[in-house]
Amino acid sequence: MEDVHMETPPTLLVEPAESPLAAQKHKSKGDIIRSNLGKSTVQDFGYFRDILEEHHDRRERIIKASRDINNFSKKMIFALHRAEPKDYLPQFSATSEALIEFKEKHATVLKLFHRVAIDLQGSNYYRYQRSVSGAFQEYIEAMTLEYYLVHGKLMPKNALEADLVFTTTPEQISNPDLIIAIGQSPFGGEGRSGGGGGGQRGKFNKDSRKRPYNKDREDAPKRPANAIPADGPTSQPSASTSAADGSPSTALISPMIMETDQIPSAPAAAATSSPTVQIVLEVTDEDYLLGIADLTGELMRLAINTLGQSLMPTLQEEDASILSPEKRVQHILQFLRDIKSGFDGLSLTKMSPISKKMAVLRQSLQKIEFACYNVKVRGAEYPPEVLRQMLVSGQVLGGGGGGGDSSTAGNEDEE
Amino acid sequence: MSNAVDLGFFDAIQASMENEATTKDNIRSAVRELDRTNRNITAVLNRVHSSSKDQVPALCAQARIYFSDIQTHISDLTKLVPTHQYYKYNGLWSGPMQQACFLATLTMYLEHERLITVEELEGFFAVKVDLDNNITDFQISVEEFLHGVVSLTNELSRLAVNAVTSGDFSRPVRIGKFLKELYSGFQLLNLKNDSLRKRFDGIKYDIKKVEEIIYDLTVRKLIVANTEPGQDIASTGAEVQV
Repeated sequence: MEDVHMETPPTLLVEPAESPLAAQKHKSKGDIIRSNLGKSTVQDFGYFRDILEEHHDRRERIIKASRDINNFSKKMIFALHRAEPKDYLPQFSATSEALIEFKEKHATVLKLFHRVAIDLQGSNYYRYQRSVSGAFQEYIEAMTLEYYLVHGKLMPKNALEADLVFTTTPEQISNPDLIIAIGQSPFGGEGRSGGGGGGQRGKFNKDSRKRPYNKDREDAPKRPANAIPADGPTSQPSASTSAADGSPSTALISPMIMETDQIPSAPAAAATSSPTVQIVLEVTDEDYLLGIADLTGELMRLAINTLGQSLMPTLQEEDASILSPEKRVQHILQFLRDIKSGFDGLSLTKMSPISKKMAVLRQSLQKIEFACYNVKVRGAEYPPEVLRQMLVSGQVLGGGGGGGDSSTAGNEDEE
Repeated sequence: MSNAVDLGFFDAIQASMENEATTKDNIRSAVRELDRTNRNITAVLNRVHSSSKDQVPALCAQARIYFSDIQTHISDLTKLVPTHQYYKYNGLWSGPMQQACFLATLTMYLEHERLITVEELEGFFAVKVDLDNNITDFQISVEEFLHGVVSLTNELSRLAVNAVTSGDFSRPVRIGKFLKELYSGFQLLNLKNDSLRKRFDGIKYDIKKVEEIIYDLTVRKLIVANTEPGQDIASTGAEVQV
């Protein structure tokens, strides 16, 4: 009986004029079935079949979308690794090919989340949590990596959730394909997503991301305060719809969200005048932690690559605002150590999936530390180019203690 | 230490994990109570296998007394589950809940020789069955109910054996008819490869067992007078030979 604000029923709270109808329509479904039950066993089982089938179909949809999210999130991570340090500076981020790809994939992933959020309302969030958990983790991994590269900090959970507030029209709820079709080419759905403001969210989002990227992000932590009232980081997560607070219409609340990153879509929403719903997708603490644990693997890769760059004098950055590769590696190391001490503070049971990932975290950290050590020790003995080759191929890493470094790195990629 | 990682956040997570553990513990102890009452009812209803048919109504009445306890336990449980988090903790009570559904279903069968209706089940537990596929407050899921029904088929096949032993030759025939009705109901479901599916696959063995009993009785001309002649016996006989 915590989180009082969740007490809104999971039926879609549309704007007041619409809600009695929607609520009635939804409520009566079970009641109609109830009034028809008990006539014959076979007929009753027919109703049970429909109920079970609806559940299975929904889970199927969620799993499909999750797989797509997983896929695109991995591509987001690859894109981030391709980008050069200077690409993350505000003045270059709009022209970096890798980052543009990242933004495109990100927009697609957001649409997929939007789609999945419709199926994850109310208690259904936990019903299907296991089916989406993996997708969440991969997405969190990608987003936290990007956030680190831009801000040098750990992305807070509420900043993640700020992206997962979706303005949805009733048409999109009845036909989620309007948002994005699952299992199709990345931008296949875009042409058809006209009409609803929410459906274009991803698209405009992408556009907005072409503006200074960091600026956009700085606003992020403030956003959920509008959409999720009184929701601290410790509150129990769930996907829920929050109505427009009984205020006359969503016209009030939608622009509030859009102000920050969706200015172009505000007129669109006004033009359609169809009542929209805010669907909020929360991130569980566990998924967040697991995503961060996966992030450490990516940071390891990043650190090793950066260490390699430090041995290539031609590639030294001239821009003063970019740290030298050595400093960057040190920063990553410190970041990883901070994350580790955060995790170390948690009392976890052996069964917890987080415990398992902790081992990976420790391994990643040791790998970087050992690589740094090797560069220091052997730095004078080999020409930089040879050392770099050894580093990238993993020879310097293994040393003899670690062993099989390339294979463990491969395992982390699987997650 | 740099301020790149907000350690306060980890404290918050630690706190929320502890909260969750407390919720789980509370639910577990409520479920333990439910389980205990379940076993009391099971003990009462078990006597049906060794009683004559005129003792059955008394047994059911005795069992029904316990169901008011079950209502109390379930309502205690209801209060412990936070809104919208039904499925987060569902695994903690799903088993005992299935058992409770089975016991209600069995009681109802013993009283009226028919399948319990959803409405009656709701009456037993003072909790609604989730027909909307969208649980807001605590409800019984359709799966839990169906699990209870599968358990019933198992129990009835045993009852058919013991009814013959105690000289009640007509009961197996009625049970056989009832089980076939249930089976055709279950066949309507498009079950995925889940636990319900596995248990559903077991129903046919219960039916086979009852059919064999009916066959034995028929061959020895012990039940001819009690059944409508023709199809029932003929069909069961045929299936047994397969």
